[in-house]
Amino acid sequence: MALSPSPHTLNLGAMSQSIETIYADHFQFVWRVLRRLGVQEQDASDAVQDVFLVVHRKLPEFRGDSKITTWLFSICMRVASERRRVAHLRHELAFESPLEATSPGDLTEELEQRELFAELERILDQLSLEQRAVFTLFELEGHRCEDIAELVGAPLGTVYSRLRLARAAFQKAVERRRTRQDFDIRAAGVSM
Amino acid sequence: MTKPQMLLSHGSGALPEERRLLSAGAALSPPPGAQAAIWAGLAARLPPSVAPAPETTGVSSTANGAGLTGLVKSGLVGVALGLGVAGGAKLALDDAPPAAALRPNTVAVTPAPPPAPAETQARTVAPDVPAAKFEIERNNARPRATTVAAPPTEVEDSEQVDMLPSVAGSAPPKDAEEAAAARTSQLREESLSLRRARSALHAGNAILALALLEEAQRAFPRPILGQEREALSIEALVKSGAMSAARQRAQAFVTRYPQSPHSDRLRRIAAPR
Repeated sequence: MALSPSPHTLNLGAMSQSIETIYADHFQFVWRVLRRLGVQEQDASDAVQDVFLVVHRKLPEFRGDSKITTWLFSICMRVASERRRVAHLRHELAFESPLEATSPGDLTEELEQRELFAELERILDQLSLEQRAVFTLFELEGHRCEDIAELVGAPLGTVYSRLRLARAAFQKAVERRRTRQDFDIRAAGVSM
Repeated sequence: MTKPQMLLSHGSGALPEERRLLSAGAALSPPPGAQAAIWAGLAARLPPSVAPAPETTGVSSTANGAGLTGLVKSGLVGVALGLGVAGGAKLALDDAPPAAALRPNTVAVTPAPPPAPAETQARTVAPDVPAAKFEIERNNARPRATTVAAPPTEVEDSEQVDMLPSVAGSAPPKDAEEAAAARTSQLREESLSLRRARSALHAGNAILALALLEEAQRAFPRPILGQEREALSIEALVKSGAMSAARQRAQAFVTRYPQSPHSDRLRRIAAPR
């Protein structure tokens, strides 16, 4: 069903976008960015709404000089930063949404994936938001560094530097994790 | 400066564990129904002139050809399902019946005795089990009886743990749909019990985790997630310092399930020191 034009539309060249269209086209991007920037699962719904409320409010001011994803990403960064700060103060417990799998094989895989992602989150939590943004955009979203520089509004050299530092921290954390697991096993063995 | 290569790309030199973690992150996506459910919440916060009511909203979308009308409709189902299952989660965690507000589609959950030897979901009420009876909201589920906790049974040897699907040899259910629904229900209840134990373990409380796993063993003597439970039990034993028992059970596990996704990790525990 065709919609009547929204009072607020976004001019992108010849294209005119409404909040509904932007939401439909970029929901997945916004959700993933927020989660990878450290927004907890239980906060993701509110955080996505916050982002699109800002989009709606700022639509008349957006001139389309930059890509819409760049604009959305900058809003996500601000929302994620605020959410992370509040979540840290509240010492929130992690929440898991209901499992989706309905077969044992799928469920096993889903449980394992969740466990791995939770571990990845714990590692990423050790990074600054700026490093985390570059790392996740490059390693998980597969963006080129040039595009990331535009998304995060930083020089290309800075993106390289943040990626290098974030990678080093990630690899060190994985190494520590493995060492810790080995230590747990050895320590328990010695104490027997 | 040479352009960096993704760690997940071929030939990056990333360790297998690094790849596994990054792959889990790369695969992250919103849960089903989230897009429409969040839009419904967002629409409520937007002025009516900007955000049409969900049932009248239709947007041509490159992301979803069905538009938001379909999304919202499916989302409402998703929300209902999410609430239902979340209600189940809360129920399982609190061990207390929820307040009223039961939907027409509900699942009656009653304490029951051990199941019949064959794969079955229908259990009868045991006389020595507390008579608590409560209901879980469950979308698209027909009213039926299933189990919450069975009376304690003899603790099974790790070699005898009833692992993943053991449908073979069981009599075909009279009502396949009913059996499938019951199996799904047990899956969810089992997974909830394992998540409680895993949370306790991650919080550093291995003893509580072991107690919860024992409880799960009693509640589900014929588990669907037996491998997960056993792997978690072994991990909890390691953390609690019972290395000898952990090693013994790990050895039994990898012998019986060499191809299990848990076996790689458990072989490190099983290895003689």
